[in-house]
Amino acid sequence: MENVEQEFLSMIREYERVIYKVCYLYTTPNATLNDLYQDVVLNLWKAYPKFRRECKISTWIYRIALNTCISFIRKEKNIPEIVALNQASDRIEESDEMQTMLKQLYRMINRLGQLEKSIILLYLEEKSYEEIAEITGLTLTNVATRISRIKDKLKKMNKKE
Amino acid sequence: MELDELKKSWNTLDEHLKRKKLTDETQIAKMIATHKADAQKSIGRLSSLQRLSLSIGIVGLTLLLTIWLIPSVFHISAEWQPKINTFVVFLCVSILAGIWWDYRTYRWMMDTRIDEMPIAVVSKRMENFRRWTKYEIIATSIWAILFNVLNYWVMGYYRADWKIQTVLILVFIVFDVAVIYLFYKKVVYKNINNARKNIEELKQICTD
Repeated sequence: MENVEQEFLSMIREYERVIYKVCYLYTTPNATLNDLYQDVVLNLWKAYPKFRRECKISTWIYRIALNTCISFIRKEKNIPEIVALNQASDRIEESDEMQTMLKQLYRMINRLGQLEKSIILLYLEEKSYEEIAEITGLTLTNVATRISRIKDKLKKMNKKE
Repeated sequence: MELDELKKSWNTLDEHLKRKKLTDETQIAKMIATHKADAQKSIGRLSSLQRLSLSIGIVGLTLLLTIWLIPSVFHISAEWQPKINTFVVFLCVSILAGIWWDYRTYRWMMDTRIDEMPIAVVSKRMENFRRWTKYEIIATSIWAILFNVLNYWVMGYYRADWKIQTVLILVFIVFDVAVIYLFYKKVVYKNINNARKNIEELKQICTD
C-alpha cells in the first residue's frame, strides 16, 4: 500500500467517529448508514490530494461529510419526511435503553431541516460558533440566531409530545 | 427531549462509538482501488462524450455553412437565398448557444467543490443550477416555436390554400406541444422532488 493511502487510512481511523456520527444523522430508508459512510470516505479520498491544510482537518472533514450527506439526500427521490425510527439505530447493536435513547435523539433531530441538522450536529459536537460559521458558510450572528431558534423548536416539540 | 438531554444522548452515542471498531480498512482499501480504476474509465467516457457532442456541432455547422456559402452546388435560387441565410444563422446561433450552455453548466458543476465550499454555498450553487434547468425548458419551448415559424416561412407554406395552411398550423402546434411536454416530463418531472426539497433548503439558508 502506498504512503498516501496509509496516511489517509490513519486519518480516517482518527476521525471515524466524526464521519460515523454525521452519516448516522442523515440516514434515511434510501440512504443507509453504510451508503453514506462509503460515499463520504470516497469523497474524502478524492479531495485528499488537494487538501492544503489551510483549515483544521476536522473542519475539512465535517464540511465534506455534511456536503456529501446533504447532496446524497438531495439526489434521492420520495424520501418520507419522517423516517422509520429503527432505520439508524438498528445499525448500532446496543441495549434496549441505548436503543430507545438513540431513537428519541434521531426522531427529534430528524424533524429539523437539513441545514438545522448540520448546525445542531456541530453544536452537539461542541464546536465553537466560529467553527460552525466556517463549516456552514453562515455568519456568526446567523449561527447564534439559528441555534436559539432550534432550541425553541425542540422545546415546542417536547411540549407537543 | 430538549437540547441538554439531546447533548446527553449525543455524548452517550460518542462514548459508545469510542468502544467500537468502525473502520473496515480492507473495505476502504478496496474502495480506493476501485475508484482508481473507475476514474480512468470515467475520464475516457467523459472525453468521448464531449468529443461526440463537439463533433456533431462541428459537422452541423460545416454542413450549414457549406450550403450557405456555395449555393450554386445545391441549386439554391436567388429567391431562396435570403430565407436560407436566416435559417442558417438561426441554426448556427442555436448550435453555438447549445455548446456554450453545455460547457457553462458542466463548468459550474465541476467548480462546485464540496471540499472547499461551505454547506450554504454548495446549496446555493445547486439551487442556481436547478433554476437554470427551468430556463432551459423555457428556452427550448421558445426555440421549438421559432423553429416552426421559420420553417413555415422558408418553405413558403403561407402561399398555400387556407385549408392546407390550417392543417399545417395544427400539425406544427401538436408538434410543439409534444416537444415541450416531452422535454418538461424528462427534465422537470425528474427533478420535481429535488426542487421542492431544495426550495425548502434555500428558504432556510436565505432567511435572516
